Amino acid sequence: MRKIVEWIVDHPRTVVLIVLAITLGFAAAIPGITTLTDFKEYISRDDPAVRAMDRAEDRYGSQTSLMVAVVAEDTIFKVSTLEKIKAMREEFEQIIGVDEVTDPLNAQVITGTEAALVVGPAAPGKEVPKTPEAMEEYRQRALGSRLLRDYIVSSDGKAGVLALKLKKDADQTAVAKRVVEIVERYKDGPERIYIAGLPYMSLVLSESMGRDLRMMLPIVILMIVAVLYLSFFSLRGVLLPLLVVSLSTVWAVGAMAALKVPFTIMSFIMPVILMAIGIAYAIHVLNKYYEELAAGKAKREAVIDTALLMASPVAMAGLTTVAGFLSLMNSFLIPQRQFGLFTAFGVLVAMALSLALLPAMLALLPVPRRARKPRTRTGASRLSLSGWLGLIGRLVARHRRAVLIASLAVLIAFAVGTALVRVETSQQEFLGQDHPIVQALNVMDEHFSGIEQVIVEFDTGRRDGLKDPELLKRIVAFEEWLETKPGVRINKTSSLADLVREMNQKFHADDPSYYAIPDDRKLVAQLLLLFTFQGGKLGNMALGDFSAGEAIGLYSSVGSTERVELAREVQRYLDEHFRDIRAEMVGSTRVGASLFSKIITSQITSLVTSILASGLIVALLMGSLVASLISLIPLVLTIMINFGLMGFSNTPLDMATLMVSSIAIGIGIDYAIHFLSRFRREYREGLEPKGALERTIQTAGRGIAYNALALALGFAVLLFSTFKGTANFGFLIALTMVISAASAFTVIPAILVTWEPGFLRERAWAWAWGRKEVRPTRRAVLNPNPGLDPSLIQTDCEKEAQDEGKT
Amino acid sequence: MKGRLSLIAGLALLLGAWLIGTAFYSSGQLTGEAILKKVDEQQDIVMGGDLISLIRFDNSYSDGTTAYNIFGGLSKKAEGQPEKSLVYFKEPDDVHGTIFLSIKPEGQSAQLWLYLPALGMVKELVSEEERSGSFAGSTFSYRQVGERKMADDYTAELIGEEPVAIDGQARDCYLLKLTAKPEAEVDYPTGKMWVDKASWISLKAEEYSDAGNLERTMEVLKLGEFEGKTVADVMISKDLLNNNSTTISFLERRRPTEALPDELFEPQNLPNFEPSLWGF
Repeated sequence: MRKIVEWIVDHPRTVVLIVLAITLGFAAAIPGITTLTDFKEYISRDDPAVRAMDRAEDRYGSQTSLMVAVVAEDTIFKVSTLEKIKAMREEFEQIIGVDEVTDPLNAQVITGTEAALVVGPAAPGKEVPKTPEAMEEYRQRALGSRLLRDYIVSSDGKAGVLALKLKKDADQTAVAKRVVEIVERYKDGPERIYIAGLPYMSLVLSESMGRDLRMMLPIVILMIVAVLYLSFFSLRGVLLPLLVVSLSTVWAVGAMAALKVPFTIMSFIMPVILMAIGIAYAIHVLNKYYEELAAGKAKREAVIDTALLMASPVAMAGLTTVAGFLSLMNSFLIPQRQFGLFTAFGVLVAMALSLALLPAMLALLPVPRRARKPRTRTGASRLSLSGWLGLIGRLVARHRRAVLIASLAVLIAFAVGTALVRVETSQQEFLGQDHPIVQALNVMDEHFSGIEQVIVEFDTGRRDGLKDPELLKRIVAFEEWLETKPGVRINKTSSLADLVREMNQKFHADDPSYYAIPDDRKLVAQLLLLFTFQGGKLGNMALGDFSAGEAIGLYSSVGSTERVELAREVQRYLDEHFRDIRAEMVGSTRVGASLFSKIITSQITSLVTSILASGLIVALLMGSLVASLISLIPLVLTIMINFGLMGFSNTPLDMATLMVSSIAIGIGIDYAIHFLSRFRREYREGLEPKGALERTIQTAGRGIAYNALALALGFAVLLFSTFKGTANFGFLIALTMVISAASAFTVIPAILVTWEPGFLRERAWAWAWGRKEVRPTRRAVLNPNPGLDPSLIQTDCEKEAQDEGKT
Repeated sequence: MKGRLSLIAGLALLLGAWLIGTAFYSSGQLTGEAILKKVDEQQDIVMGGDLISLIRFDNSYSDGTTAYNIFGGLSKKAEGQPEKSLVYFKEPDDVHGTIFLSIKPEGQSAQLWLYLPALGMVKELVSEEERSGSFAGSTFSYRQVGERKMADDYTAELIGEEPVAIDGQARDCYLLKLTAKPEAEVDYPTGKMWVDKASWISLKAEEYSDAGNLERTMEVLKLGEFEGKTVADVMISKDLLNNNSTTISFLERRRPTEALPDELFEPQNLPNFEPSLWGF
């Protein structure tokens, strides 16, 4: 180890050049990074629900469309509003990539008379009716059409939709941008105009992510600069750690780009998080360097000793954090895995650069003049942080039982809240009700049949199987059940059965009594032939050979629990009534339900993994299972408070907040480790438990407090995010940082002082090797100058390294 | 002197040939426009008059499934008279007997009627605007199966010559670049067409979108002969955007022994249509 460090210190330029070359390599890849905003893509393709959806999309195609909803205060059936709709349609039709635009004026209406079937636009000549009589006639025609009502025109006549069908090879983002530009020009006036659809959603989400990053990165950098300046009061003290975190961020983002991993709505915050987490390692190294200089060491010796002494504590702090992020690899959500993996990589890089680049840079730079002055404090005044922490230590020692009982009470109280946590997988909840995408979706929900879909595939497995009248009648019964059943209300259904009924009625001079499935199979076939003769497209209603087809039910957005129940009852109905064919739910409702059921499992798995990994690392480092268990206690409390708060405040467990507990454990465990290590050292050096506590809390405690505060502030920057889910995530992580630090100051000391567990005085793995006390005679007196030890996180390992360094 | 005369004579011959060639070219016979007109004329000759045909459509869909139709066609074309055609569905069984009737007066849109045997009813299919979309679920659009002449909608430029292989045999073709006329209502603004030099039929065509992407192709797969003229017996149309294709096979083409009676093409007579009389 020493040889490596010496090589680094003796070849600083080489180290800087190597780092620079690698950085340039990663940086070159960054411009190629892409964004992925389609929530469907976030789930593994192996999921049965996703496989069913993929198969259905392969068979029936995935129609990409953009919708522009125009909502009037009274009615859209007036000249000014319809002129606006027509003008927008004409502009949309000119956009390259737009195949066709359907609006309330040009949408096709089929009318049946005794002699003919008439197909034509809802408004004669697609023009806005000019007289009140013509307008009324048009209104009745449009609202009377099953094909238009609730799809293109709302049944109350207050809203209309312009549906843009995009060509398969269209540049969807370019089309969405152009649509936004056009809509902006029509926004003046009494009508409200909203845009919905995947291309628009992708555009807005990408822009929101970019805007969030552009806003949050400078804030987190400013915050880091402030913390660094307050820590070191020097330009070097600011720039060097900032360089380390910036480079680690470049490496992590560059690695993502190079491996073609896109930024997602969950992972785009990685740069902000890496900056906040990674800075601690550089601070510790730099701080130690100044201490070594203050102790009178020469530059080379100071740099080498710093690197040697800090290698172990920085690695320990970093590895537990890495374990926390890697536990996200258990998640079923692909973006969470990617986020966990690349953030873990970034943390490793920050660790490595703090231990390699930073010493190299320090070796290159001259010794700062002020650094030679001893950084001493005259003791812990009552107003200083150490003073406050000392006070806390004394209070905890004095009222340790009360602290433990209070902690237990808090644990129980928040456990009640934990039971109230609701799981939510909808994108509306993640984005927040104020997000323009959600507002548009709400409008579609309010005025039309809803944006959520129950999709069922009926596969007979034989050519023309869907033309069987008996099967079509069963599909009609299914649709009627959907529209009338209790629970989630299905507003509208559509299928091949509806088309056959519609054509039958139209062919019989629009007689409503013929809105039924004919008994004659041949008539069914001939009505369908008639439909295709009129230029009709079956879309997802049937495959080309009529062996299978989909039925769709539309409903307004509901919570995840209701969606799961809906999925269950629909599949139950299908299993009961369609035993002779394959009738299976496909699409977003089933995927959402699957997501819901997995989110709990995923949460438990990553939580357990994180706890086990962190506990194992502590057990290995501290050489004691008891120490490992004690270190996990504040984290259990923290996690319980986190979930309890979520339950009480109705904050859902969603795709972002799902990650909180694992990350909180990975980072929060450091506080327990630092505290326990330091306490054990002081205890072994002969201090009474209370003395050891006061000493620990004033030394390691100060480091923990700064670290937690810096991380809490770093994560709190996420509160500025446009996305509610990200803001919730930032708030909860910030909170857990503070709580886990506070727990380390209270619960751990209360346990240690009360029980004085054996690992404090026994050698590591004493139970395995035979008990062996390492504690010397007790010292009754506190170290008279606790402020002199500026080591923020010095541990036993560090101490051993120090001894080794001295020899 | 003799040598000089020979040289002058040679030059004169070359010049003459060039002049004759230019005149031939400028007279319109070998310009793109002229070739396109020839294609339309050739089509008229084969499809004109009274014709009985038996056709098979094989549709292949992007969802991996297939479907087919076999129908008999009766058509009647005469100068100054409306173009009349009747399509009688033979297969599949569930649409057997369905009849589609089209009457297109000169310069007007076609009137369509449909007879559904399951109901024994005839309905006129009225479209208040130009028909669009695919014809009977095939890859061909209404415009393509309609009687509209290419030269009415497109200007053509001869951009080269290129052979096209049919049944493994290369045939010399003119390569035309087609551009839609400003007033034309067409599905594709530009295209390319390979016209067989020997028969004036289009052996291959490509159609491009506004963005310049190739969206649809047509290829002749098999040539045949009808009344001593080369005709396309099997051709395939591919919709590259949606990954569908339709193969059209002409199973039979023949002229009736007597002129097709006008009553055949009257909507009210459709329920009484007797397919066996026409070999369907």
